Amino acid sequence: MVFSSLDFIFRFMPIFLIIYFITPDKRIGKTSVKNIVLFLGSLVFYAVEEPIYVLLLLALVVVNYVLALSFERDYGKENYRIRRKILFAFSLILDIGVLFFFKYADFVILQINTVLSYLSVAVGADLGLIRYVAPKMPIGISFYTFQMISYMVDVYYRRYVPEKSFVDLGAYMTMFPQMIAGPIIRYPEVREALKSRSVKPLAFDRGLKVFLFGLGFKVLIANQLSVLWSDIERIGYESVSTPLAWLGAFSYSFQIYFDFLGYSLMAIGLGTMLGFRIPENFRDPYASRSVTEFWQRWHMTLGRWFREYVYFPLGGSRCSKGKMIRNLLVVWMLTGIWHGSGWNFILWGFGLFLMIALEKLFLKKYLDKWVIFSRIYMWCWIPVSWVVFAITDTERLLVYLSRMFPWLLRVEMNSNVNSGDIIRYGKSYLPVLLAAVLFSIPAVRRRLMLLRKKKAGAVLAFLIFVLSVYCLSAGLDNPFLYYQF
Amino acid sequence: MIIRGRVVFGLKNKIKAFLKNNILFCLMLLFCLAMYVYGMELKAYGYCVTSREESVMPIALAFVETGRGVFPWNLEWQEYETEKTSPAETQDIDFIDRVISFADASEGVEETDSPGTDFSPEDENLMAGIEEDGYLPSEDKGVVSFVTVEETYFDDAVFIGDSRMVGVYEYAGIESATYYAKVSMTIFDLMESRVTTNDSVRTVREGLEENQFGKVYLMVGLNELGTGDVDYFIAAYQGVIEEIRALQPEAIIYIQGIMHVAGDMDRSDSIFNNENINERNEALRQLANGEDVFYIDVNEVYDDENGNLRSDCTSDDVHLYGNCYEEWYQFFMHHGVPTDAEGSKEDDE
Repeated sequence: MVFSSLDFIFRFMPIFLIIYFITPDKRIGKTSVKNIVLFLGSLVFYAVEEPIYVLLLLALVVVNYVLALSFERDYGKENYRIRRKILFAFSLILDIGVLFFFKYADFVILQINTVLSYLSVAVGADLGLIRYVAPKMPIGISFYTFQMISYMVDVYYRRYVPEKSFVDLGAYMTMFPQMIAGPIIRYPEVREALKSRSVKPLAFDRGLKVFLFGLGFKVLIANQLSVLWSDIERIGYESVSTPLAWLGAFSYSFQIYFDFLGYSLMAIGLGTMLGFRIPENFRDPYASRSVTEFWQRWHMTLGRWFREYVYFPLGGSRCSKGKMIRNLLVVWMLTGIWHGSGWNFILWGFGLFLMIALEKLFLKKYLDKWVIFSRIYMWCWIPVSWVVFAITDTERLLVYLSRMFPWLLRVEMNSNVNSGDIIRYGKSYLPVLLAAVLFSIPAVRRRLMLLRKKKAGAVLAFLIFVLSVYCLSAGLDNPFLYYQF
Repeated sequence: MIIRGRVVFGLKNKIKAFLKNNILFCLMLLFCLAMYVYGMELKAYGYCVTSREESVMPIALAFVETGRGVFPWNLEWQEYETEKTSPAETQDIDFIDRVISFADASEGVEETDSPGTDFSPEDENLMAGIEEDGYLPSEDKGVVSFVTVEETYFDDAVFIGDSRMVGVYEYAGIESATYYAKVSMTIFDLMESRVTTNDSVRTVREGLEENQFGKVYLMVGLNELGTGDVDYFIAAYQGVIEEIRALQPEAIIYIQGIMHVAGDMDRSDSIFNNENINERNEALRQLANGEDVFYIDVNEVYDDENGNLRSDCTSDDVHLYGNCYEEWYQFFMHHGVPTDAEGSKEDDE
């Protein structure tokens, strides 16, 4: 169930909020009743979408809870250190293993089978193929396993004591506002609130407004732009004109940003309404002047995760240049494949590594010096990188890139370009694109977010609410949600 | 008692503080309640957003219908109104509704979308007229031997239809023809659809009134697959053909069979599947008379061995890639009927 669905807005959210707020702020033994409601509510939220995998989620919570507590048992006994290490390794293998099994096993086996079939031909004997049935990937698994790993690592390194209350830990690991699409939070960020919190009336109002702004970004900008991308898919990459290919790439860049930004804002808003502070996830990434800076502003909680748990443990940049390059490669390749299993994500991650390494080595000082150069550089890089991200089929990716750079890249294909397509599509998507550009400007976005403290903000949020719900409802009379034949 | 009083007092204060700071929330709550009540009312009046079985939230219904111009006040005045209510459309809708009521009367089928239209004796006479004109299904009139035509054949052709015709406009490369094509066009709103041509925006009816064409190609039927049954659809189609015939006495009318959807959608969709399309195409075939109304079916070009749209031609199971329209053009070229209507008649005999 996504936040920007009628089911969430009119069914789950009101019912949950009512139960949550009439629940007395009391404890049964040491467990807070409100946390029980939050934990159960989150499980229900997940179960609506994944009725079977909710058991997997619950099992992961239980196992991580038990393992984290058992790190410190038998303190001082002779096998303590070894035992602790083994338990930690086991927890990591479990969390990463679950993620791997559901997300990457399919891809890896496919590659092995490809190699096997090549070998069979080369050797002349049938080596056979691995038979498997790819499991469906549980929604949000990349996010909640990462959150669990962060907890286990922190507890292992004694950054904080393991949580004794199962309900509190469960509420943290499954908290529905951020479970399925982030932000990825660390336990200390919500521990205080989990122990005791009170939602002030004003905070509820502010949270609601942030939620509505996020809803607007998602429904009124990202969803509208997504239609242009599906238009391009419908025409076929072979047959889009070069200007339209670029427009599509720009539009997709804004679509993915506002989609994700909207979702993060909705999570933050919901968190505030429930009494939590969820960290921000985006800080105007499209105003960045280098790829390095971009990733400090884009999906910040993921960047933080990789920095904390991969880059720094490897030595970060406080080591020799060669090692630093290696560390960067590891981090960015991992970032790439975290976003999806496919060659395009590997290529995308490698692209990130390449740009960031170049910037670290020498490019950064020029980018800092020359403003216009850095802007042009970024606005060439952003659309191209998102195209690589968007198109999972490498052959089709090449076709699209060849449409963007017809003078650089030639691909044998059967194309039928309508050179007027840019006018037709450009005209109908121009208003949304302009709005997208406008809200990507830091000053504008900041002003908008500050409006939540003013009366005008309430009016605006109400209008956004009405419009968004209208758009979501209107999608109903169409089986394809956002477009018609 | 005192403690209890304090709790109540505290709760009162809490609520007061909440209301004071949450004007937006209260506004949303009231608004949603109002929309919910209105949605329930709409449901009671028989409105429904989709043609599908699934239940629609009353709130969503209220939003959509308000967007379509259905308000509580015109709801009260028109107790049994179908989904379209704007005055500009009423006239033509009446015409279609007459045809619909005729189909209903003859088949005894209840239309869920048009609960009880009020039709007078005149309407029945009108229908009787249509029946006598010989528009009722007859066998084998769709089978004609077509000839190959030149490019110039399309100079005086007009292509009317939904997104698939928009695709023909954009990618088939028949530049000399006229296009009255619009995404999501249906047979029910075909004449009223506002289409953009080189010079202006006008409705299809206005376009057909102002210009004379030698050939009229029609391709609609996919969007309305979930609306009504085959008879409802065919009756409306028949009405449109009648009207085009009146406006374009000399034109050859080509009814195009609805293009299939690809296998994935065919298997998964309860409405947009090829079984439903074939059923309607069979009925469309019967509308041809072999004299000046012909049936052509582009599915013979694009079907795979299972009778589905070839999956290498589409990304969304419905629309062709830009580079697949060439075959359609070839299909048009090979399915021409000589322009001289008299000549074709003789051929048939």
